[in-house]
Amino acid sequence: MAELESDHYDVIVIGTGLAESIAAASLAKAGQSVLHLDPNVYYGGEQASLTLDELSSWSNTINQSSSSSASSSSSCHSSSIRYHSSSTTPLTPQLENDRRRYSLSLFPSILPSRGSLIDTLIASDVSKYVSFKLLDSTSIYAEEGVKKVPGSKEEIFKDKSIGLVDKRKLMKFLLFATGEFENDDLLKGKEDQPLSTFLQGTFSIPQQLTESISYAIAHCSSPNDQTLPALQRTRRYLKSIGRYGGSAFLVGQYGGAGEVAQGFCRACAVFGGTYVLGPTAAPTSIETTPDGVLIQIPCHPRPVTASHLVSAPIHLPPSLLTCSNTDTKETTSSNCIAITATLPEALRRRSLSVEEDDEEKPEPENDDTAVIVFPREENAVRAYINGEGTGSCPAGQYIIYLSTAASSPSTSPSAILRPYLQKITNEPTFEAYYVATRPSYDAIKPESTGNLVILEPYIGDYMLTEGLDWEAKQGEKAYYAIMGREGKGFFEKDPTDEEEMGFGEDDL
Amino acid sequence: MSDETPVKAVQVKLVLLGEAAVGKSSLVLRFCQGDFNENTSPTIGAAFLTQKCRLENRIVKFEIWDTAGQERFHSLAPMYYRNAQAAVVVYDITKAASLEKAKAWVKELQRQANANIVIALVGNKLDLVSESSSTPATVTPAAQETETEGEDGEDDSAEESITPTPATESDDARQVPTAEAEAYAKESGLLFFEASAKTGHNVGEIFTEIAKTIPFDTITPEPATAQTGNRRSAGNHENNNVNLGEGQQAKKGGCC
Repeated sequence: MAELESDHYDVIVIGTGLAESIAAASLAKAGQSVLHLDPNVYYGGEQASLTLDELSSWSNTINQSSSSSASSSSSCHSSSIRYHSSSTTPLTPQLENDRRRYSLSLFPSILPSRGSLIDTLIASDVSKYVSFKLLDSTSIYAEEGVKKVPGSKEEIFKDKSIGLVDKRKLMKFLLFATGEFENDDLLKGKEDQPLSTFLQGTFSIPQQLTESISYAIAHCSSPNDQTLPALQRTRRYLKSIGRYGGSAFLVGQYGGAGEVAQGFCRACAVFGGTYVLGPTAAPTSIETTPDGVLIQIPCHPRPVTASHLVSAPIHLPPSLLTCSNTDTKETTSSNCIAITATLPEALRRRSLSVEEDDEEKPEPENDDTAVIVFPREENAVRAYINGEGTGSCPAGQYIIYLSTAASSPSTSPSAILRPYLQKITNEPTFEAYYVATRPSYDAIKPESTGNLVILEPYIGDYMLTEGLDWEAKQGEKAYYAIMGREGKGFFEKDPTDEEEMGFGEDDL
Repeated sequence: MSDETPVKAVQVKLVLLGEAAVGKSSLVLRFCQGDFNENTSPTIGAAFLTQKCRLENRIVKFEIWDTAGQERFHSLAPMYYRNAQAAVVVYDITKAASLEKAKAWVKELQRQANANIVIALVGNKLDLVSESSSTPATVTPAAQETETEGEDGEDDSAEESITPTPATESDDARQVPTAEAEAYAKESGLLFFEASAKTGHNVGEIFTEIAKTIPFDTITPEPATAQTGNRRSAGNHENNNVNLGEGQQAKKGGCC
């Protein structure tokens, strides 16, 4: 077995999640020597995109580890995301045969066209390794079936199902929501109101439309979400429309987040970073020293030192985690990853109640990606569908992600989510269910100290639309924690830089 | 940088594989430099280089991905293999073990990559064993080669300077007989070459032969090669991939 080239690195990064990978790439770009380790055999950590067989074994592993670690509940254990209660249906011979053609995301998410991750992708040139498509549609499920929601002003104009008066109210609201509303009198004192109350009270928007706005434009988990944060999200999403097309959101190919993480890892390697994955990269001990950190890893015969260590809490020994010992409030979410070989009705393209044109037109192509919201008493169930165009599954198939904030941890995720899966498809060829438990916002704030930079996992209810940008922000934070604010900026280009990430662009 | 040609280029992703220090980067740099003046030394640490290859009826534009050292601990990401239409697997004809490694990489390609990927097996450092025994095949070429090594850099230079090739009997340096490697390539359906990145011998031929072998007519455009969605060549049907970097095209002169 080859050993590392050095006993010392400027920075050791543990875990190849998106935030870690962004941190690693930015540090290597700034000239730091980086050793990047991941005890998993796959890239991506919490953001991994897995093949079918990898997902099955991931599912087995989390069940084993959750039962074994239940007794050893150190108080700091809860600063990491924990997965449990997972189940998968067996792989059919066909699936077994094609298992490597799937990229199934543990972090299903769409990317707003304006925000931290987009900026980071462009600044780092990692945008050249990864590809995105526009999200095709956002729909709300109602009794009569799936209803597409107009996402932009143009679509609202065209939508015949909205009356003229309501359209005017809606426009007035959209104008308000794209502006600097923080100090607007219309909002004063109502920041904490439920969004639906605010919309109905202040803008006289009818109830049915408030639902559309809450779920499909603000991407709330419930119309009762607080107004101010919902408005802030709305503003960002509205401003994202038009940057790359009619949709505010992009869909990453090949499983999204995991592929993006790989792109940053490659960028780090190009700038000299060293990569070791798998069991030989799992540190057997991590300790802080006056000059930094010292770790022992199976892939190297001697201890390895570094001036800084970047890691999510999950890879750190409890001794390095200082936790505030308040009541650990946790949020749990139930999740499903399913595959079907039949077109979900929600993706069938119908002309959006515009006038029929008489011209002979070829059958419109069906949608390839969609977000569908199922309103519920409590938190909505959100579905996110990836078709073959995302490169995440074989032709003619669809991956369906379902997620909801679960109210009772005792109910199995399949009991909660299968009814919703069945509204999308009657013929799933594969189903996986699991529960993710995340620490609540205020319970644990892992303290980064001088040499140790701890990345915080995303813990809110808006992972679908906010998770990727959270990761990018964490990566940037880690960069500045190590490099300081005075020197070179995060992925700042040297004026003398040649095209570093590939040159000889299209010159034809 | 001539723009006058009306022929559309077909873009092909080509990945490099092989043990460290066999000269992967040098082969590519030789290939890419062949077309333009010697002084523009490409940036070390480039993630991929591009080079065009003209055939009678089409221009193939290779987008060549280097391992960036991620092969060392077998940590190449699936992204690396994704949509690669061609691969160059390199070994060093003066190191028997490097052919075994190359075989392992071919297996890995068959597992990870597209089923119809075109693979070329290349025995590099032919200059060290050249029949024309007058070729001084020692310290000088080794030094020169490491100079053009990109990401493999440090590691390579160390290894190569520590193990200087025996000087006088140049053919002694050969550890992999041509026939052996060729037989393996044949039975595995690979293209086969012996080449020298140092002298440039056979380097262009590798890429031309690959370009000729790729079954363009049956290839359906893969979504992932389309980072530059709006500017894709006409042969590929329109897809709606997004070019994130638009408005960011302030490129300084490309090299190829």
